[in-house]
Amino acid sequence: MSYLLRAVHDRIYWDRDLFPKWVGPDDLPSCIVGDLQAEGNTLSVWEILDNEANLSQVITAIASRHPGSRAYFDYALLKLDFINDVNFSLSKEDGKTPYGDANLYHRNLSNVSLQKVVYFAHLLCKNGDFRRAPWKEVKKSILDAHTKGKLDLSRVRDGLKKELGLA
Amino acid sequence: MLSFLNNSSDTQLDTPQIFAAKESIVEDVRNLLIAFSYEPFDTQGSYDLTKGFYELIAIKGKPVIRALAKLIREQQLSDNLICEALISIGRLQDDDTKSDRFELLASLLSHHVPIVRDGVVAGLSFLDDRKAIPYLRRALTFENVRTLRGNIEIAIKDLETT
Repeated sequence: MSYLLRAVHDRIYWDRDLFPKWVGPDDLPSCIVGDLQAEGNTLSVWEILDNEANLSQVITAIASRHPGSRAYFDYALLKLDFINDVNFSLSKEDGKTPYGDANLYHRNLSNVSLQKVVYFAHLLCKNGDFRRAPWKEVKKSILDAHTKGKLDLSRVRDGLKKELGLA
Repeated sequence: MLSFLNNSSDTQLDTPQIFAAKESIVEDVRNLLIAFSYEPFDTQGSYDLTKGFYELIAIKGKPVIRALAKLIREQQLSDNLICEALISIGRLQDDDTKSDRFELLASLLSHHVPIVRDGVVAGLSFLDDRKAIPYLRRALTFENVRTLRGNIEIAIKDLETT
């Protein structure tokens, strides 16, 4: 069973133990909405193989679009079952990152209404596996991808290129 | 060490002119942060805030870090904003303010708000100074939030490869 990956700004905002007291047991704090911004009513997600063989590639791909370095890369993994069980429309569309090989794993959750965004947030919060990759590992992966000629430097933003010594 | 959260050293001996100058920098830092408080933080927002700190430090110098400490101490900022500010000051590549930034971050490792401690851990990771490792190890002995413990362990591992 594969997973869906969604990058999040900081996994700590998703920790139910740390939600403000005024957030009810069936509710979520609105600050996490920033992690679920839809573009054209579509949520961008990535499919991760059940053995996670492509996890590092996908993280590298997403991070290579960042404007600059981060201290970490946080993301959530959600079993694909949770999406298949409900009425989400999942379709393949190549990602637009500088890492061509990883772009194949990009997926769209289409026709996402606000209600579905909230539902997805609940699914993630309840069943998601929120993880953190140290930036040094991510940085090394980006540089490795570049060394292997896998990275389209013209699509890497100037700030990140400069920080990685690729400018 | 850890004098940043003690306000007695900040203003007691200041002339009115120096006091006014310091207050003006505090106001500049507050304005910078407030400008970022109306949008949810994302990667770009976080990066832009760092650029804002760069520009402010270029003009006002080291007192910017002390001004941020004052705003935190006086609880004039939201917890989320403090978290992002701490990450941003960790990200800065500026040798002149590095020891002040380190001191401020280390002094907040036992802050009572978990999200602030999270910002500290990320800020120290960014600072990329092995000097932070013993502070983080000590924080692990009292940290009781599971996610934060995980973040601290990752930060230590990351710094050990520096």
